[in-house]
Amino acid sequence: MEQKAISVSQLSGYIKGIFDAEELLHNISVYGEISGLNILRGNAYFTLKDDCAILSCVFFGADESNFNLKNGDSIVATGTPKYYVKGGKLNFNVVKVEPYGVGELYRKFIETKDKLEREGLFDGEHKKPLPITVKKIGVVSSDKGAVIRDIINVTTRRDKSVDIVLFPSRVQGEGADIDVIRGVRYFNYTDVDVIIIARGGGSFEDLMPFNSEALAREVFQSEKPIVSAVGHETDYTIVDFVADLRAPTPSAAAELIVKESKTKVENICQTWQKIANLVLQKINVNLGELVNLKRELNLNIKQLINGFEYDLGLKSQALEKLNPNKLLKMGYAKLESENKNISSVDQISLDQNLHIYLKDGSIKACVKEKQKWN
Amino acid sequence: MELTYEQAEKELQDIVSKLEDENLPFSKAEELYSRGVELVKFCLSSLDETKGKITVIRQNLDEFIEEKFN
Repeated sequence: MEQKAISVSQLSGYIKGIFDAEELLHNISVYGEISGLNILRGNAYFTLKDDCAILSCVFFGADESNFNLKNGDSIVATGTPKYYVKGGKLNFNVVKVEPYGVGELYRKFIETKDKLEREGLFDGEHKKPLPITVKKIGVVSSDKGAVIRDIINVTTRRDKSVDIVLFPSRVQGEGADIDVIRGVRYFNYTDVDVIIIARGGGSFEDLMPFNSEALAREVFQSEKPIVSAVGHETDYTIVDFVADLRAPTPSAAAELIVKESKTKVENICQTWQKIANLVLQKINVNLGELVNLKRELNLNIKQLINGFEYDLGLKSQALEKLNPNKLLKMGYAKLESENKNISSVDQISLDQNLHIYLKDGSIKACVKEKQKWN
Repeated sequence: MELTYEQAEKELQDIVSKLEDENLPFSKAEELYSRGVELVKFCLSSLDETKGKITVIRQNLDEFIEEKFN
């Protein structure tokens, strides 16, 4: 049997041709975990693997801006497989990498965040201040785990009189955002003073319910102030941006609320004290003025009455001087004729009848003689 | 209408002026003088009454101040 054989080059060229011709394999995305990462002269060489297979990859022109990955990272690599005839090796020529799973979610997060920011949901003017006094805190969180315990511990350590009401909610996975929305809505119908939305740390995917647009809008509409405490200090979710206050951790949220409340009450007491002091000072000043005014008033009324009395005295004296009887008592007489005063001999003729008034009576007389002095 | 202090004082002034008129008949003078004396009495008692009222008001004010501010 005659053996038909082809050269290695022929076979290799054939294989290369198959890969090059298969358009389905062009610009394809593949996910896996990075291992054996080696960056040489700006090119990144690594292997993508999953449980059963490995794939050699090369990324040309890798720098910090397009390639910031390390071994163990799960990524989605986009590129085209190439068969290298010379090396007898299939390489996946990668042109783009992004974190696996997170990439899409992160894009969605940024989109939602930008949209809500443009709409003004994060604006400071919409942030409600924390209440002055806090008697009851509503917490939307899981009823399992450390978060609610931390909140209770911190709050009761600070102020035992504060009540905490938990609205148990899923905080992870599909539909968790709906639970949290229900919690916010529920507390808006109760007498809680403030709402905490809390969750412990987790991966970006774990925190996704807190990036929900519907939840962001619910938080924005809430009439009760909302403090968000989702994940660790370094995690930021959309709820954090739209909440009235963002606390780095659930314990910190409780701490902030109770502390704030106490500080505000203390400030009010101090301010009230200041006002009271100012008013008292003012009253004292006014009182001093009042005493002076009272003294002047008394003095004035006294002078006024004295003035009246003096005037009256003068008039009374004038009147007394003109008392007709007083002159008669001194022996003077008053002459009248036909109801007219007689004070001159010129007014009298001989045999004229006169009325003469004396101190104790009157007489009628007839003129017998008259003589005028020059 | 009840006489006021001012009216009484005015009338008293008029009486003094009239009494200075030497042509006044005696009976009229006597009548005016009597009226004048009445008016002086009225004015004096008005002043007395006012002084009394002021004294009471002053005492009330002093008591009020004592009670409220001491």
